[in-house]
Amino acid sequence: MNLLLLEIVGWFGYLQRIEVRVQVILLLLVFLGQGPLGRRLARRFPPAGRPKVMIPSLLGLLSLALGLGGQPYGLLLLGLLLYLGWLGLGGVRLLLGRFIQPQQMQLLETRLIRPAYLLVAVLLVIRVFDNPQDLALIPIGEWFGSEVTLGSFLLAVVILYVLAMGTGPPAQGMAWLVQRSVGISNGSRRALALMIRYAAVAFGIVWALDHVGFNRTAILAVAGGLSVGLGFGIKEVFSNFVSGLWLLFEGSVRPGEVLFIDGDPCEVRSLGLRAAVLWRDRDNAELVIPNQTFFTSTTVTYTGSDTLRRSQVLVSAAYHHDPEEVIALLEATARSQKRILPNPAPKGLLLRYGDSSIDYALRFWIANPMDNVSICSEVQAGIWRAFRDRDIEIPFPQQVQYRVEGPPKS
Amino acid sequence: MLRPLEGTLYIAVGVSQEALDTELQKEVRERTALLQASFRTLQPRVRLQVETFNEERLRNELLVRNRTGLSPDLLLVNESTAQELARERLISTVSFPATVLDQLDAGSVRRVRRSDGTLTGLPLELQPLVACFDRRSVKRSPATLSELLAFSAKGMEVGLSLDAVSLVWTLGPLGAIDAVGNLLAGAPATPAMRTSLNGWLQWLRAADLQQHVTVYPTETELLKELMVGTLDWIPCRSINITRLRSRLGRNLGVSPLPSGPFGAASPITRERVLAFGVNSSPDQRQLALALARFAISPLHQRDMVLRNQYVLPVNRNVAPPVSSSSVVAAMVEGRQQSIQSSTLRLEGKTSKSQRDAWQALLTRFLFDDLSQQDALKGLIQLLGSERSR
Repeated sequence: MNLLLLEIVGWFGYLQRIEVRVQVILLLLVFLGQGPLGRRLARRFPPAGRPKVMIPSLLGLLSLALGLGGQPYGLLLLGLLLYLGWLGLGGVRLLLGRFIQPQQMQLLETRLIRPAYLLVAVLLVIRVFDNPQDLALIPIGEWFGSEVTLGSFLLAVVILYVLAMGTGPPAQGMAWLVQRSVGISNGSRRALALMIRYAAVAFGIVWALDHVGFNRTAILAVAGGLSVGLGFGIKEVFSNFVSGLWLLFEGSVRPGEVLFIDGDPCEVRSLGLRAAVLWRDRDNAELVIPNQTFFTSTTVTYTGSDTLRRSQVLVSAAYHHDPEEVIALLEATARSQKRILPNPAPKGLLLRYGDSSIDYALRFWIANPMDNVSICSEVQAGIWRAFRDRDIEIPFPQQVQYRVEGPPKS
Repeated sequence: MLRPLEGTLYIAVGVSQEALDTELQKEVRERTALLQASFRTLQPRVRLQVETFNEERLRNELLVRNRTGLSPDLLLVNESTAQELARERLISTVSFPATVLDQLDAGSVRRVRRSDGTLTGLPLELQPLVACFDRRSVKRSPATLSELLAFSAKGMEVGLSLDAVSLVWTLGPLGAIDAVGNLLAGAPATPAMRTSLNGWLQWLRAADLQQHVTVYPTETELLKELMVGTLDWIPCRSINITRLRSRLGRNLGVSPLPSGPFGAASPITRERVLAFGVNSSPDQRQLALALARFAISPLHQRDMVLRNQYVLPVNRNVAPPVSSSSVVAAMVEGRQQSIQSSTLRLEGKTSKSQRDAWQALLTRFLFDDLSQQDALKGLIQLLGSERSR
């Protein structure tokens, strides 16, 4: 580790050279001073007010001037290339944005594209000060009985990061292929994608440890000790992780499933290592619920064996209407609704004789449990119109108040 | 001049790509640390920063570095590499007073001197080619090529490298060294040359057909196989003895390479020189010159030899301890063989593409993809072709 620090400190020795000092100062001046200069120039030449124009122009001109003067200019050129590359990421975003949804694009950009670019930029900068291949061989310590070099360690970290962040789309692609060939449900496809991802990361960890050259026996011994520590220290985290895996295999809480949480149907958006994220339609809220909760408590789901939901609306009609006529009208109204499934057929029922009305129920089946509230609303509006057209009265309790004059006689 | 020098001096060490690993890097750093420690007794405020580079890609590296102003102050490279870099003006040529140069091996100085009297670099050390073997299975290193094949027939695992520079040592004992030298110099192929080259190819084929002779692409593989015990006998560059010794300890034997019916072995001794970068500040250049002069001083050159760095000094005032060390004696013998066979210039006279083509040709020949006649024809064409650089 000391060797690495000495190596990095040693780079500052290049500042002994006037040519290097000049380039570093010019780079700082361009990046820090382009704002005021650009604002001043923008009065006559408006594009100069934009850093995207000003910085490359200044760096290009200065590189040219130094080059023509026979002086080294490579650092300025490198600065220019890196800046143009950074601007180029905007083009990549636009291009990929045509094929990828905005939310996924943002994740891809912040977690993969930009970090990758920064990594390349850092390597390019190191490349001019030192030999990255040489640096990679610097030992950074002895872990688990083997000497770990900077290169193998960083490579392992990068591979793990890429696996953790970048395996999503390929895993989804593979799961999609399986769905197409075997015909599994959408929920199973999502679960499969997640499992492929976990498997890739797990293989990545094993590969990384192997690549770094850790002694496997020592790792097993340490893992044994750690598992005891994990059991006591971060029990909840571990429990949630294991619950998540179990739920994935079990299939009850998979992305796409609809669960009933506190009386509201919620769709499972993702099942993470620690918690599941559910979306509640009613108020567009996202609920983050620890996996363990589903593991230890009763879960009501509408998407266990199928995605159908049986729903019902309650309605009352006056006593003088023939119940058979009312039930037939209710069933006909339900059948006329597009989002109600014809099979199983809607069913009208006389529930009870109330104080001021006969109470009926209309039961029907819908395909998407998340649409229940809106479909019920449509059905009830349809019933009101049908009752109005047939002059069927929806009674309501009426109170008649009598004013009593004086004290009761008896 | 009395003002003590200070600052950081950047030193690039050229190594072959396939040899670059943590162990080699450690070796290079240790050697530089030794130089730094000694030099600091004179200039205590100096720090050396070492970087290792693939020597064959050093040209491209310097093309980039020189434009950024970040080229190394000193480069420890082969003499042929320094020549090539100087030709492309990627390094600075330097001058040293005659009193300094007179201390050095005259041949080495002559090879780095340019027509304008300047030097492409300052010769620093010599790395002869010797035979390295595992004493556990080889009691005595073969003295002749016939013995080499005889020993291998009895079970001694022999490793040879097809790398052009590493295989040249077999040309002398088989009488083909002059033919190669003349062809490289542009002479037309004569029947005598064909006969001698044919004899050499025939021996190579015979060796390859031996059950216990294995041919590898590079010297690095030979070293690895000797260290793990797959091979018992290999030709090896003296600088690699450190690594072999760290693994084999006292079981490592070192001796001169075998001779043959036509004379002694004809190995190439690698001459390492200190070349100078183009971006150094005046202080750094002064420091680099001071360090280079210190590195060839009898004090440091003796130190190099006595501390088992397995190189020979270029300073004529330093006598290698031949009588007290059989390894040094073998190295000196290897050096003598290379001088006698005039093979020193072969490395410089061939371009990388020629050396690669040589290796490819011999590989095809040994894998029976080329007949001996075709291989001979190809070899003559290759050696006689104009240098590609």
